[in-house]
Amino acid sequence: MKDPGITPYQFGALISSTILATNILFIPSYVVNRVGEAGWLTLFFAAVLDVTVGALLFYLGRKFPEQNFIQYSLTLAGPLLGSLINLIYLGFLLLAAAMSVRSFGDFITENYLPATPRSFIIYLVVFVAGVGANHGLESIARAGELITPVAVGLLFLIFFLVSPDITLARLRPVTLGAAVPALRASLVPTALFGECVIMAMLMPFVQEQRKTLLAKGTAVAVASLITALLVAASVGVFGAVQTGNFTCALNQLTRIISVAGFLERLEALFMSVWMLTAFLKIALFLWVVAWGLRQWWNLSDYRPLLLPLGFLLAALSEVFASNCPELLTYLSYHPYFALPVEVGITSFLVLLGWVRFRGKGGSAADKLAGGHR
Amino acid sequence: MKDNLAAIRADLLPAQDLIVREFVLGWTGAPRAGLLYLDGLADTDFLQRDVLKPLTLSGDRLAENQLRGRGDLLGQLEEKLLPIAQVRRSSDRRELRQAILEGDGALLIEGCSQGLILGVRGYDTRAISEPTTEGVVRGPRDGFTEEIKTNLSLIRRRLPSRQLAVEFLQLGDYTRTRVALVYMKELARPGLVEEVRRRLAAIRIDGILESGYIEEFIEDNSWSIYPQLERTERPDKVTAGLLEGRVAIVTQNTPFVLLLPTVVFQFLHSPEDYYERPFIAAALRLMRLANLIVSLLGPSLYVAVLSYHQAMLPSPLDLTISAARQGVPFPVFVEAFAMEFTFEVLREAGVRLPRPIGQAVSIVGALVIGDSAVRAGLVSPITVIVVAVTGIANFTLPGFGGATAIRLLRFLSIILAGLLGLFGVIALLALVIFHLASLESFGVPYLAPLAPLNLKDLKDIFFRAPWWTMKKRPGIFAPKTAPPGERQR
Repeated sequence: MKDPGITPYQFGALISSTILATNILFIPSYVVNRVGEAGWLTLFFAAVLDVTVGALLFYLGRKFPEQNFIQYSLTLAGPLLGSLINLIYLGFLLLAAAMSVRSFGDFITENYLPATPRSFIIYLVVFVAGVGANHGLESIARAGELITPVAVGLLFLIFFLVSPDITLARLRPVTLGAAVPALRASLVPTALFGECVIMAMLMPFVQEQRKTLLAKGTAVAVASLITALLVAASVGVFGAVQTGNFTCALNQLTRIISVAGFLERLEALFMSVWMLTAFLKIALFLWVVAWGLRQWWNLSDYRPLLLPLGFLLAALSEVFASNCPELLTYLSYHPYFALPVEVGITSFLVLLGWVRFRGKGGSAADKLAGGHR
Repeated sequence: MKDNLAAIRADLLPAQDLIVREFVLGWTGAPRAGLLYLDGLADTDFLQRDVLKPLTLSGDRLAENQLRGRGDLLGQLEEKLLPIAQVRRSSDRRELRQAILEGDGALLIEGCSQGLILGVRGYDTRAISEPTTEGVVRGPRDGFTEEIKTNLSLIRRRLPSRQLAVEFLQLGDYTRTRVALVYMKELARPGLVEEVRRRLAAIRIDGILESGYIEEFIEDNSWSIYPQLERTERPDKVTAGLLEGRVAIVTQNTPFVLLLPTVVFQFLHSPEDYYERPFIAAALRLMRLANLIVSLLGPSLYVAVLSYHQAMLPSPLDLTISAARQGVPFPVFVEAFAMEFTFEVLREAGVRLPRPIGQAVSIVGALVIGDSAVRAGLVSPITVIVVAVTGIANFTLPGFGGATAIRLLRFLSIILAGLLGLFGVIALLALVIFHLASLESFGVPYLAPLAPLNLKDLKDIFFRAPWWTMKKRPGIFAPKTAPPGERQR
């Protein structure tokens, strides 16, 4: 099957959408709840950490320009350990997707369709994302290219429209003392930002691979900036206590928008933006998991895997938590599972790569080939 | 000659519109000859004046030559006696027969195994008239007709360039429909013409009655509801397409010419955008984009908001709508769906009804049905407004194929809105975006130049930059030569 090709811009758009889809729903309330007024700081810590991980993955990606995570982990860690790493890695991505699907289901049933069974929503979401994944990475990338700028633009518009209601005094006090709890609370957004380890699967398909890190950095910066702005706006409008008590602060924030008594209650807009990015993210993750399995198991096509994976995804998201509060509680434990995968495994591979293929110039693949010659 | 004549006649039997005229060539001792043609397809005046007259009345000059044995008789006739532009020889009986069937005349001479095919086609065709589907206020008024020759001439007279290539082929086992592949040799993307030729050659069918048949055979994804080829009745549009490096397929018996590759935004563009001032063109394009969104999502958002998200409405608006809907016995979904359906029925009736009453019925029908339905309290006036606005918005989209696809999607989105509210609408939107993103038309992504993004090409998508700023041809169709002024003509 032909390898897809995406542009750095498309890659950045996918990363941005992935971050937004995961973070704009529950994270604002969570971080404000933990840190208070300085909650927006956590997003910058998360962004910095995530770009660092991105740099590590970039290093690996440049060492193996033709290969993705699934392939070079086998080269670096050997077939046994490599397979274990692949299992954990793909499982983690599937779980991340399941979390998104589940949040989707909970958000819709809690806020808009209380009478509809959540399973129905979940299966529909998985179906739509599965169709997207079935079309392949290039289609997902183009859809991302279309959706992400609109999503980012609308989020900035929302910030712009609520800005008259912000009372700056509510954002104080910002003291140096807030930095330590902020750092601690930033674990959760970091874990969620860290889902961008998906980068390792996309890198071989990016044309002009050198620009991947730049695209990644820009994407993370844009996404974290707009999220941080909206968190700050939410605190500025509602105050830290109330923001922390909401389930989804930004949804509440869009409700207060009123322009000229006509343009009111834009939560529909917010909801649409979030849903589109979430569809995109879930489709992307499904594709990546299917493609990864295909490569790992040397299959000729990834598409037959989508149906079982879709059911697995739907089932995983069903058993993920028994209700919405439990989902939110899990969120605070998520880093203890996610970070070892995102940061731990990546660093381990980088270390292996550094030890085994030390020296300058030439990709590791070249050296391997040279060694065998 | 006798054998040939009898054989052709026997092949065509019963065909009483086949005219067989036997006569003797006009000099002493001349052989007999037979002229065959189909009544109505060949130009009888022409045959009488320029074939029969010179042949029967010619003097002995030819006979002398013939007696001296200088050259063959057919050659002499062809060269000296028949004032006809298109003449060719054939000894193949099937070829002669086919030529007669397509409107040519066939001349058979005693003693010659070969026959002459005379290009005397002359049947009645519709005159060039204004295209009915793609009207403009400013711009040329001529439209394609059913006759391929006329259509090619309409393109040729706009493009008297040696770069314009015209290739003929015949499709359909029975109809043998003439199809012309037209492109600019210098501009078409390398490989594109070959690909089109390959796909056309693969067509196996009894008959091609309209270019729609060809469209379905050669498009990339024929299960999509979106047309991946542009069809147009306007020669100026085709010419513009050719200049962008696209390929046109002209089909006999239909005024609709296919243009490929196509991107989705072409359905938002009217040729007029390029003739009017850029600001006006930009405004019109943005309006059409808004209309596209309204036409796709208008009724479904209405249904979704009223059924599930009433709290999203500002209170005064909510009150107005509730007051208007008071006493309406149906849920808003049923109401909107029924009205949309009625609208489509009226629209279809307007197309099918005999022309003089068609328009009257569609307008009066809409007014009467809409008005009485509201008065009877079956539907709320708001629903009628939403449906009417949606319908009108759909008419502003210049690409008919794209507009029809949107009508179909609208019903789907109303159903999803009725079932799942805004979530259903967005889910459908996501599906549509994924689908559009997956489409390609002859190697060009359907959403180009927006996705994949090509900033330079964007200046002719949502607005049109002034002509003097458009120095390069659109990169999405990847024309192969340097822009005008930088190359030798």
